[in-house]
Amino acid sequence: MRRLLVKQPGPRTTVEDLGRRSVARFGVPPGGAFDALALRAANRLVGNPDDAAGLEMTLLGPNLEHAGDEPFALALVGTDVAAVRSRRGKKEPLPTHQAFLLEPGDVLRLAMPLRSARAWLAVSGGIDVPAVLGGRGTCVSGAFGGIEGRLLRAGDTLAVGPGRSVTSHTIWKDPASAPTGTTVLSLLPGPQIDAFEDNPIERLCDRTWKVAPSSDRVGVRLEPVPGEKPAGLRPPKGIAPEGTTLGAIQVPPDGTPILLGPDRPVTGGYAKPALVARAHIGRLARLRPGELLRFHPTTMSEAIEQECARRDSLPVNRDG
Amino acid sequence: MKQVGESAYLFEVASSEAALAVYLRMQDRALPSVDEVVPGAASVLVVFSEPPSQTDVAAIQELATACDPGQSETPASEHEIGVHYDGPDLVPLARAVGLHPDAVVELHSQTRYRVAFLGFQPGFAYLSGLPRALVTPRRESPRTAIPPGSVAIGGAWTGIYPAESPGGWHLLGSTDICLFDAAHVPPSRLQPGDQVRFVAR
Repeated sequence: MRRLLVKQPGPRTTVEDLGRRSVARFGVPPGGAFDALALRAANRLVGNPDDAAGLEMTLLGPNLEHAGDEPFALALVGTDVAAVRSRRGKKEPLPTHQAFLLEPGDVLRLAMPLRSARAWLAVSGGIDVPAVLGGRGTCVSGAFGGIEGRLLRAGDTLAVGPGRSVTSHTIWKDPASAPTGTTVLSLLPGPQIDAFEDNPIERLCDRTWKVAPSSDRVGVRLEPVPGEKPAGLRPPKGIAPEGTTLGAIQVPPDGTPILLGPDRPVTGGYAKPALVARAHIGRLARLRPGELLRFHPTTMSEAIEQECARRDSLPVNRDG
Repeated sequence: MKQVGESAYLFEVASSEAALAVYLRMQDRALPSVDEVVPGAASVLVVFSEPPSQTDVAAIQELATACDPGQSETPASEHEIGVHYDGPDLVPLARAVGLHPDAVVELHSQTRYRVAFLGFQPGFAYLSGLPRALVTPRRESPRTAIPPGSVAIGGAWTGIYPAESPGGWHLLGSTDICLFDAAHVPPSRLQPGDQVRFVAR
């Protein structure tokens, strides 16, 4: 039997996979791990198919006890903060971006600041929850998927599917991981770039921004850095509601941008002057409230090249 | 056609009816490389799972610009939804548009609407066809919590809030029906292209 008992849930931990398809007609967002590539990497480190369900944690991780009777492999990606494994009263640090083993009775301690807004944990065999509308991830706005469509709570038991009980030494190096200092996100033009009075990409790129505390999986909200002059983004009042994409920057009339996440509404009525290149969605997903960021323009070919490089960095899954 | 990022394309059209026609055509002839087709008020967004081939882009472009009316092979569902017209905004809204509240109810319930697209939250359908006399800007200060089942109008749209949420539309009344249930097939009672009529209870 393979299962994990949630001792401490962390402030916002959810079951996530790679998201849902063909659900916009129900008004259901795609959801899935904010950085899907990170979850894919974690899954490969433990020998899972890419789309196995894992956990996404926010700011602080959970504490999880192995409450089954056979060992299994796990991998944590997205943070460089070492997790701790308690085994018979002894604590030892664990590697990140590399698989490790949890034995019956072990406690995995992640309830500490991750120094990254989000991190992902894959479990060999995947979190075994039923697929709903083609996905195992948590849709909080529709109250379904994951564990009862909600955040993890203390006392929850997570069933784990059949999988590996050995670990490999493979390490995933994420080429998109931001160098230390201010995060930089590459921008592509958005569908309403021409509806702004001024060049909105220049207005986005000519200053430093700060991540607002109200940011979540619906959207990462920005605010001006105190002391800087206003951004002068002059959006149209609204647009005919249209489909939204991951990483699109929507600008409401007050001029403060929102970078849309996986749980965004499927349609939206604010103008979108730009969007974050796919290769930098991982950086966007890791931005903490209060953190500073800058934008810089990129081209389609450069964006696709960076995304391919990131995809090529995925560990090779020897089990196919 | 506008390219939106590495792997999505937006087709802008003249109306929600035109968007529905494109959407229904694409639903009928789904490409395996397409993750999502999202109808909007005057657009259709096509999201591929990864940067698409030129052949796939040409294929969706052809579907988007084809001239047939885009009648889905499955006929549109028709819904009759009972409404208690007792919403807190009925009287103020009637005053704002210069009508008696009874006339607002009559206008709202005598119209045949069409689901143009969904959004905002799971199961929230934007219904087109609101009589011009009822078209009003949204409330200046949105409410922080609107009860589920609230029947409301905002701008040129009418709709029903499936779950408790904040919102800026004018609340005309309420319905008891369930708009979204993930365990039900289909999970959303209203889908793009469906016809809707409200019946005063």
